[in-house]
Amino acid sequence: MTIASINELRAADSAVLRAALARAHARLLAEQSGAGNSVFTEHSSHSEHASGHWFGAATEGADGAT
Amino acid sequence: MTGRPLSTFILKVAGRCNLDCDYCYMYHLADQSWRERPKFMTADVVERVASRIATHVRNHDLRSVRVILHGGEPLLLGPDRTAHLCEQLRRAIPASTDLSIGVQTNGTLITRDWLRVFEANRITVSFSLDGSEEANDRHRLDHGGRSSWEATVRGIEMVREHLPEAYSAILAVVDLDNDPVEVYESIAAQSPPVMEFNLPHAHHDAPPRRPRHCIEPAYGRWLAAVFDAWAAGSEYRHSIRMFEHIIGLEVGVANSVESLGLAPVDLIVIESDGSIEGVDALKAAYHGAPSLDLSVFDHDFDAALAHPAVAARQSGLAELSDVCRRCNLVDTCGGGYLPHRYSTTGGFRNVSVYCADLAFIIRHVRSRMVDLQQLIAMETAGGIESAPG
Repeated sequence: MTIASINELRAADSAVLRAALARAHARLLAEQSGAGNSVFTEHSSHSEHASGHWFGAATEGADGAT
Repeated sequence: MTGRPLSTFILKVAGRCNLDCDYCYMYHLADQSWRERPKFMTADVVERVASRIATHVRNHDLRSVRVILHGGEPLLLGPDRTAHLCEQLRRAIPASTDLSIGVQTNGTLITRDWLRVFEANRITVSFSLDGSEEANDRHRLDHGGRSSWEATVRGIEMVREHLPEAYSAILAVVDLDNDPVEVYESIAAQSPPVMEFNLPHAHHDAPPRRPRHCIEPAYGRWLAAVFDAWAAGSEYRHSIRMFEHIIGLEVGVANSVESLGLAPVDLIVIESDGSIEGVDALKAAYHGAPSLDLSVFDHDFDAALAHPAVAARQSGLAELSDVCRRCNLVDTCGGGYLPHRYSTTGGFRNVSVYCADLAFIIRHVRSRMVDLQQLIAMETAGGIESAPG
């Protein structure tokens, strides 16, 4: 790796994206274990919440007819 | 032979709205069937819906189902009738099945009584808000042309402060006239667990508004600006559903949002008169587009699954245009949201009217994730520490 490319990678580092990537991998594992979520819809974003939420990893989508 | 069981049931509990948002597919686009439908879902429809869902759960041994109270504005149904509806659902659906209930609302009607109903019935609440007052009021006005922003924000604050476990999400519709970062930050200020950005409903016969003579992916660039603002945060505070699903699809998660990816769509819409419909946003395409000619009074949900229009949405790649099937982004894009593919001449076998925008945002997210995964791999191998500089 060159210094420039390492710096580019450091610039790409992001706590938010790391967390999002970790969540994606967790979803992948959940799917592979048969506990995956069904399709997210356009109708309401009752989506993945922090632990403690009533419905844990329940997921939905969203749309604007309201 | 039927497809993947349905697991999400969109109940159009109110056929009217106290707002008059000019982009709303219910009232302002091609389909005008709302004029012929009851203002509210009646008790006999609710009873039959609950029974049909319960039968579907039993027939397919479903571990969990979701019911989304939708409209119009679903809170027009009132707290008492909503509570009764939830009780009917919970009474009918086997206790061994996890039933989650959510509502998609403009939030303007939320009161203490509603908070009690949300709490007692464990209803999660997702709000529609397009950003700051100025951004929101481009479209989201009441029937008198007055702003809805303050009332919506008051509703959000009530739920967030008094019933945070019910606070689910904020949905915004993209408008190119609004600054993407300002929209993102104004929504983030409401601290939703989840944000969603929807593209305005459009199709090839009624394309989205774009800068004049501009064929560049303006919506994709708008979304990319939001993505960059989100990614630049110092900590993970909220999900942005579209972006996280692109990330998920990129790492191989099979499930997807309805508007991305190739997973079978497993939701169904029940109108206030008991009609079963496939995708209500198809109202944007042409009058009668969502109709399946099915009703909860005469048909179970397996009949809906067997309907060609529903089966088509479970067929993934097979139902897409030739262009989509040859595209190297198709696993992530999935052809985009069905209503956005429509044209009079080609039906739904077209690329999305947002094709260039979807390609732009997917590539944008992908480029950041490739860098990030490379970085993580290097750190894991100790490569960063040993590198000069």
